[in-house]
Amino acid sequence: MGNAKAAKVALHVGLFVAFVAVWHLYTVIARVPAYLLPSPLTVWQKFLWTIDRAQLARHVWVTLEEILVGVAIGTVLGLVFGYVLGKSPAAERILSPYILVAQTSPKISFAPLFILWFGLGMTSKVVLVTLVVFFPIMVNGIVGMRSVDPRLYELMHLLKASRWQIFRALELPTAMASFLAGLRIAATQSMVAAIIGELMGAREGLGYLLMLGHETFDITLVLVAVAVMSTLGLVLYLLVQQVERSVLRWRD
Amino acid sequence: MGVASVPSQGRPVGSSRGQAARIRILGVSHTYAGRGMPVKALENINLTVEPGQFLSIIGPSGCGKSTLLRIVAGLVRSSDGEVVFEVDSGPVRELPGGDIGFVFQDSVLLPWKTVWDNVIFPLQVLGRTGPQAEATIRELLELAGLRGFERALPKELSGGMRQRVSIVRALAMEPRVLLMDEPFGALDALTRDRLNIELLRLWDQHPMTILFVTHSIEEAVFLSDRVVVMSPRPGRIVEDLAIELDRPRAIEVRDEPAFRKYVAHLRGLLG
Ligand SMILES: Nc1ncnc2c1ncn2[C@@H]1O[C@H](COP(=O)(O)OP(=O)(O)OP(=O)(O)O)[C@@H](O)[C@H]1O
Ligand SMILES: [Mg+2]
Repeated sequence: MGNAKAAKVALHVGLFVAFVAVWHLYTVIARVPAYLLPSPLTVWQKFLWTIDRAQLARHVWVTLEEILVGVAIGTVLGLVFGYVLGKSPAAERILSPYILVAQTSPKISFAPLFILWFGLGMTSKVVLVTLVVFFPIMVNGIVGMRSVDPRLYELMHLLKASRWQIFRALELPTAMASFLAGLRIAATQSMVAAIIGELMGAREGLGYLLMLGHETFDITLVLVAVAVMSTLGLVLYLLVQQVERSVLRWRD
Repeated sequence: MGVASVPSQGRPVGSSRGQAARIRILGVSHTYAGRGMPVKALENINLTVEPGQFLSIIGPSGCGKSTLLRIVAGLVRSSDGEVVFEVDSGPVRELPGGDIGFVFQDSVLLPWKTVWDNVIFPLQVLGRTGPQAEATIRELLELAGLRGFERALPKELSGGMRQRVSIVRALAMEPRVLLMDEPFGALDALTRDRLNIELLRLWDQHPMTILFVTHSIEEAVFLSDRVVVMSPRPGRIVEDLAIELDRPRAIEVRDEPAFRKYVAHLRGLLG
């Protein structure tokens, strides 16, 4: 087991090294000018420079904070609405056309509006992330609530369990699987929302860094921003996946 | 096992939590509104089940057995008539939480909880956990052949084991009334026999009034003090038969002429 895992890690490290090597050789052999595609070494140096001189940590933190706050608010709101609509099929029937429209509309397109309304600071991005996170969480919340075995409700009824007890012991754990699936979607989309929001207008954050690189024709900075964002996105995804694995251990 | 026990004379009707309840089903009829045509499921059912009695209900499919059980449990409100429970404190329309146990045709467990946590769960909801409750659960799990599986998850058990967990969970609350809707219907004959014996043993130690629905005439006769036969829909009671076989009963009782006579009589009614 341990050996197989080590072999897997070695394989991925090897592939990564090969990728960087090919990239490097290509820029050298084809003599690609650095303003089109800098070599990996140049990008690495720029990365160190950005940490040192351009407050990379600060930008990462701003974007991360927008994501975390937005995900938190969007999740709480999504769960509350998901619970209420899951409990009341009548309310869901009335609202379902609106939910459908809201779900299929590209919520990212609200970015310019939010910048206008909430300014260049973090608020506009947090609102955008909240909006993007809210829908998958709510919809999956409704699905989760509906998947409770009706006979378990009957057993709770025989115990004269309170609404809170039913929620805590039955609805929450049942809905957890579908909620976490929603969170996995939300985690990926929240990243996109924060970056797009920053691209539309910001003074800080990874999206701002990306924009800066674009406007100053500094492709090395663009590549640094892209690499950091990708890493951040991957970390968020793996985090949710880890939570999912440990919470849903009871499933087949 | 440890303590030398005096052979019990007749059946005790009190558990550690108080007496088993008498169930009075008074003129209960039920019609499902449904889509389109209303379905009349039950018609004027009158039945009194004595405290600590084991009563089985048999009848053709769709005659309203499950409906009757659900009405007694308070899960369905009958369109007519009423159900009254008589306990030490007097007659009541509704028993307190946890006084009615219900076992479905197949196991209904919380899949994210272990066997132990599933069984203790109702007691947690009722706020009745404690060393004594845990001792009872340990004893019940032992009786049901589930010792050593306390930490297992439902997905790690066989269907029969899961159903035993459901039964132990219902018994651990020490309900005054136990309602069982074809609890062994999905099991093979061998497992079914074993669980029949186990159920009788558990009932012997934790007396309660049992209403048991089954499709098997043999099972009904083997388990019960009384067997009630229902007509095709709308269900009415067409026979109320006292089973006077000695207890404790072993599987071999099925070969006795008296047993065969009961079975033949009931089969004639259903045929
Ligand atoms: N929720 C419901 N809505 C409408 N009709 C129902 C409902 N539940 C049961 N019925 C109808 O009521 C009748 C009695 O159903 P019930 O489930 O009580 O029968 P049963 O005796 O338990 O049958 P079986 O032996 O097959 O389990 C059936 O004709 C069924 O179609
Ligand atoms: Mg039935």
